[in-house]
Amino acid sequence: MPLRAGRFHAKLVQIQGQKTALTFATAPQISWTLHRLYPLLLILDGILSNILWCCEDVCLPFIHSVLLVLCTNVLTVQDEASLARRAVQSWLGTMSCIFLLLSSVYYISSVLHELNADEPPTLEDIIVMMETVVYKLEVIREDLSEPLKMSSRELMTVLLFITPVHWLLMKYLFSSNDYLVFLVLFCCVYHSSWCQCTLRLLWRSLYVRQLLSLVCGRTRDAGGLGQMVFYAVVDPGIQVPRYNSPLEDLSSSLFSSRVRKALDGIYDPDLVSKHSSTPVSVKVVEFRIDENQRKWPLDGWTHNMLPYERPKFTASQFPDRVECTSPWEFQESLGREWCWLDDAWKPEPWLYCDTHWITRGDSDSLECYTRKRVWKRRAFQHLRTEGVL
Amino acid sequence: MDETPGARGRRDSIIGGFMARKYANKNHAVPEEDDDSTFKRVSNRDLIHGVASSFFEAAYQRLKASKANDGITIDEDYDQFAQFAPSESSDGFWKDENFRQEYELSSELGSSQTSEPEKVAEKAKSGRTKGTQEHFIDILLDKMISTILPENFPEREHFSQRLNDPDRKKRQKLSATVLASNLKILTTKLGSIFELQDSVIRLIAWRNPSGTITMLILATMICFNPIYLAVIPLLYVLYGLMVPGYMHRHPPRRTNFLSRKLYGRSLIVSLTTGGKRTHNYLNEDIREYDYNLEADPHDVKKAHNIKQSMEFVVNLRDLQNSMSAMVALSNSIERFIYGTAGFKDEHRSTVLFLAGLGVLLLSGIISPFINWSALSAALIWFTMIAIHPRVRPKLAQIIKKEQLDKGKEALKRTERYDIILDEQPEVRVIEVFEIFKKEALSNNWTFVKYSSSVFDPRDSFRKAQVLPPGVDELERVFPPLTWAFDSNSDWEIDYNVAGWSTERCLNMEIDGEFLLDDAFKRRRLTRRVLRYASPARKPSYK
Repeated sequence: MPLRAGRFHAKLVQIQGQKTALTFATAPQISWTLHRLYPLLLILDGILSNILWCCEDVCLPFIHSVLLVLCTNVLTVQDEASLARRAVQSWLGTMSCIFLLLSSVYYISSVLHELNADEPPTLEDIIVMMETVVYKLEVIREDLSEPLKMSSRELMTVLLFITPVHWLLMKYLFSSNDYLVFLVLFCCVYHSSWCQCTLRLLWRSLYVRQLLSLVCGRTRDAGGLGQMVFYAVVDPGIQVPRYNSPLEDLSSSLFSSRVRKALDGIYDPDLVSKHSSTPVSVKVVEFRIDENQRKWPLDGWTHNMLPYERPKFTASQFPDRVECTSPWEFQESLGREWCWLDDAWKPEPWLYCDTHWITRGDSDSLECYTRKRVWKRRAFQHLRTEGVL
Repeated sequence: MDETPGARGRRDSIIGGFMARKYANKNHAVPEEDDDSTFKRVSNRDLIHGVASSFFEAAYQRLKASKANDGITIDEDYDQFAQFAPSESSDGFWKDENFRQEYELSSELGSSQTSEPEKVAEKAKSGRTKGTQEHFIDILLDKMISTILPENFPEREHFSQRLNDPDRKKRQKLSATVLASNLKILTTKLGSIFELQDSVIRLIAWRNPSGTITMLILATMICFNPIYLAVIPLLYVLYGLMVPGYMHRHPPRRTNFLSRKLYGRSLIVSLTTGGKRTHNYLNEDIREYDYNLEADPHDVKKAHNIKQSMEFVVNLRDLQNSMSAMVALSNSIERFIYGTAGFKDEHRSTVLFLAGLGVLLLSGIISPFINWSALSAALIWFTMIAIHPRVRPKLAQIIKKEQLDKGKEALKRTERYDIILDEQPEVRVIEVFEIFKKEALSNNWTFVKYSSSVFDPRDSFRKAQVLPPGVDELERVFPPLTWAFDSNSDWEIDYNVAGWSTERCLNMEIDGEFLLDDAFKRRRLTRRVLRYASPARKPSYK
């Protein structure tokens, strides 16, 4: 039913897997090498499919893992078990070990045999197989990349944290055998799409993220560096005339307008000559506070942040995002030596970021889950140098 | 609540029965009305419906009794659900929250459709017509049932009383159209069940060897730790249903690579394969909600319809086959219950019972010394290996047919000579009255009949002035059904006339072995009959 005839839908880009006419474009030496490599590629592909659980028959990796687990049972000695049980276990373990070996030998020989029986592969076949192997290796690397991304410091904390947990678990809950079996099973299953999906689904839970951040020591830093660091220096020392009679208050609006003018480079000599004044050295800074928000499916943009990430307001100067109060609370707590140059806090437009606070642009889109904007207000401070006084 | 649900249920029925009786009496009092007018009001179809759902009613009643104090009953809740469920399931459910922009836009485009309130009114109207106007098939069915059902079958009052229960009236009535539409819907959706059936058959026949071995490993795990029985279904829900659903929505970027040919074979598969595995079309029936319209939707729909109707026919056939299998199964169960377990063949049943008893005792005695987990696991593995299509013929060769026959013969001999059926048969006495008539003029008596009736002056046959049913010769008197005469006994004349006449309150003249009245005299003949066993049980419909 062409009901939506009024709309035109573009098509997705299709990635072309097939290369055309490779035979003529490839040097014979390379072709020959690739041809020799083909069985190896096939075998490697078979092994990778088993690791990734993406073979045609999903039960096979399962059986292989069970056999592997039975093999590991041989390694661990259980003294408390009865003789019959130990005998059965070691028999089963040995048999499954032998069976696994035989199975791999059989697989390799069957590959070679079938290759010999079949017509030789085309260059395209080999290339496709190579791409497949590379892609599978890439997938494995991708799966491992997230845990391996940890810095050495995080790794240390993880080890420190996990070692006593390990010890307790082994001491009171599991036997070493169970632990080894669990480890082997986990390694077998890790690259399967089920396990990866489970991990991703687990990652959806706030508590899991919190636990992980706790284990990895990725807690958010409390503030405490002091207010001195919340600004960026605009001008370390600028000369501004100050009226002597009567002694002008530095916080007056007239003086601050003169500071603004001085910053803009408009120095009014008339004013200075008309009135009795002395130039004062003033340090002008700009306070910058980041306001952060996260998008929630039902409530939209709120200040509700994840417990381990940056808080609502942060000082924008620092890469490790020091916590800070809101700009209006902040100005209350500011010391008396600061005088405001601007009348109010001025926000910059929102910057939209993905969930890891990597900026994506200045408009909201599907990939944006967080946003931030900077509140700015300039202030100045009278520099009491020895020479002036 | 201080009363148990059971007591409450009984009280309800007592009150109901009382009310029914009361109204029945009222109808008696009013002369114009028919005697069973209360029953007439209940159509036969309702009655059938009542019979059919009486089974659920018992469970329901209990549940309701415990919930009677709640503000909302399960019935109402269910009705509400039933009202709202279809409206949700028909359209809204299949729309995707993440692609709201797509269908909202499309509905805006289709602005020529009727506006919402109009639609609602239309819907209500159609609903009302549906409610009032019965389908002609339903009427036909009603008529048909009324011809099937006799007007006065026992317990009719019971059923009609239950039909008038207000809770029950809310529920659906028996209707051919509803039945047919349900069947149609179910048939389209049963495909996955039949696919499951096929896959189970593949597993058992070792046509999916790795699957069979996986199943065996799982079974072994269950044997050694029965809690897996609860865990594995949960595991299936999580990883068989939910994770694939997630993977479908968020593909994990691992496609199945289709190479031209798959090289290499697995040792496990080549060792254990039991035949070529047929194509299993998994996930083919899942249709993606189409938001992109690259293909012509008309064509897609057409192809889909063809596939659907094909599937419908195949499913209908499968449904019929499984129904036939069900019938066969119920037949064999019936055969067991009424035949083997009902002591129809007493030799066989006795052997079976004794064997069962022996097994029971033996298992009771030796069970503490057996590792049941290992045994059951070994048994499962052995059975599955034994029925492997390549092992079975070899096993059959080892266990030769003659040996089997010999074993059967030995069993038969056991049945024949080791089981002694020498219980005392049941002994009863039958009686016949030999009736003589007085000749009109002389004092002679002429023989009339052998009859079961005494033919005394109060006898109804006598009053009607006809002879009682009977025969003329003693040889033509047969024992009651299932009984046999004791060949060692003969008909005996009962000389204790006073005894049998007083037992029957016959106050008449006694003349030797005869009991006289003015026109007839009779004597009582008795004979022993024997019966080894009562007839075997039979189902009520046979």
